[in-house]
Amino acid sequence: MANAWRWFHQLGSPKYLFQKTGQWLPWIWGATLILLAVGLYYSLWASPIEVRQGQGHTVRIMYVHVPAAALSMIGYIAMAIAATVGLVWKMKMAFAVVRSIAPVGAAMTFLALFTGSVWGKPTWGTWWEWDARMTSELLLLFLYLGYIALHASFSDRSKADKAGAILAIVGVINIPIIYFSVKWWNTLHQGYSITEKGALNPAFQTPLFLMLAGIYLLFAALVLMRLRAEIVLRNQKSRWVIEWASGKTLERGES
Amino acid sequence: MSSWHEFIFMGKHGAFVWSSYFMTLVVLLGLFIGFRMMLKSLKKQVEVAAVAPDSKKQKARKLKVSQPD
Amino acid sequence: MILTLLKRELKVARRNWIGLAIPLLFFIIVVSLFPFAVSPEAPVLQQLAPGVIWVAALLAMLLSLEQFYRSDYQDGSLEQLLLMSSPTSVAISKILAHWLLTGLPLVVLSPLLGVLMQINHGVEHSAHTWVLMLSLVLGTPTLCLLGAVGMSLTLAASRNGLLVSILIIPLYVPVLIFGASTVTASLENMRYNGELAILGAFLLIAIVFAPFASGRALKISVG
Repeated sequence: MANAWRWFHQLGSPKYLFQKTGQWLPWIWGATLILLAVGLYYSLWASPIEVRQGQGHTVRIMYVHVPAAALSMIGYIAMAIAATVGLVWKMKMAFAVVRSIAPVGAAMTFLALFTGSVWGKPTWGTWWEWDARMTSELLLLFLYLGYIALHASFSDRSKADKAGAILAIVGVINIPIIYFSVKWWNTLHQGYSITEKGALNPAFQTPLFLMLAGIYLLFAALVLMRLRAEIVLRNQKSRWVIEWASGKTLERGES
Repeated sequence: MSSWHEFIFMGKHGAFVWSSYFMTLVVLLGLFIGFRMMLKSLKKQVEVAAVAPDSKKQKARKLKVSQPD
Repeated sequence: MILTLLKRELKVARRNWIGLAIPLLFFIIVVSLFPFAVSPEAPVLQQLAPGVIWVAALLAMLLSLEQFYRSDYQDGSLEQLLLMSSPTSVAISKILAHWLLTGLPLVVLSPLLGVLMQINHGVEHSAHTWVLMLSLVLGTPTLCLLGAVGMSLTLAASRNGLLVSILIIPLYVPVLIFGASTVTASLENMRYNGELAILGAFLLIAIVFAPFASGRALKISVG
């Protein structure tokens, strides 16, 4: 426990976090590429078409749609958790994490909407349906973009961080409220999900779980990449950043 | 999947399936390249600032001291 | 404490009564556009009425937010208020003032808009107007509370105005859904107690979280 606590504190140090993420990234990318390669093989080639509901090949869209939709939610929750850590423990790196998740989460939300729409056309016969999930996802996209717009509107980064953190927390309290409101408002949906028993043929599970794992890791890798840039951005004047950028050790007292 | 033909045309839904995967690829690759370029350009900026003439660096240092935080 | 702060807010607002009247005028004018845009026929307007009136009320609440915060922030009086009293109580006083000077007038004006939108078409002595007012009574305070959080967050931002709308409108959607559907249920002669209860629940949740969050945000904006 004490060790875990110390590790948590070390992660608050920009230098340590930068170095550690630099060490992790190649491994994460390796695992991501392997999982995605196998996942794509299964999802585009070695899996059957859907017959029972007559979706045919369009079931393959699910293998990118479901991970994107899941990550759009998880990303926002992760932002709110990091924001809470930042506000409660006054940990500056947590704010950098919040800022780094935002663009990747927004991209996932956009992809969930796009693939959902493309899936909807052949399945429901329409590009857009105001159903609970798609509508919530659209509002989630607005929440992400709102955070990014708010963070970009301050000249003082520490104010931007704190204001953004409060917005992320307020947003996360609202996500379930928005979801249930929208669901109540229009209960029309296909009812197709992995948690529903019997809805998902085991033959579809292999590609789905592979793609879920692959895209989760890809998400983490992208967030860490953005985080590394964010750390450098925030510590441009630090000695270790200059040493890293110029590739040489500075003498004591210099800079 | 039984043939390359089927792989490309996906029944009659090739456009739908492939556009989903293609858009996912474009967006995620875009993020990857964007983040990479961001880190690279930051690195360059820091490097340029570090090898700048001493007089300028002196100034920057003074400015930095006068800032709170 | 809050009472003194509230008195101050009301006093400041009295000097700026035109600024307070403009959102109310906006409320009426926006609603009066719909007959021109859609159709002046009573059944059509009646069907649109709940949504149109609620959207107009929501926008009027958003428009009026600015003046309760902006000038206090710019002339430094907000900083002084925060030195003297707790951030949460400052936030509460501003929220109360905003509701009393914008939310409440909207509720009072809504029967007029009900008439413009033919809400009572085809029925004598209907309760629709009362339901509309009741939904606004329960819904507009939530709009004030959420708006306060958004406004406090954007006070120190370099570009504002529309920024606060972008942040807050997604959070307004649940209130809009249940506010408008309360009135729709009444128009369709169905029970609307459930919708009203949920509006009340939203209000309670917002009362618990929003003043605190808004206070913290005010502190960050000033500090």
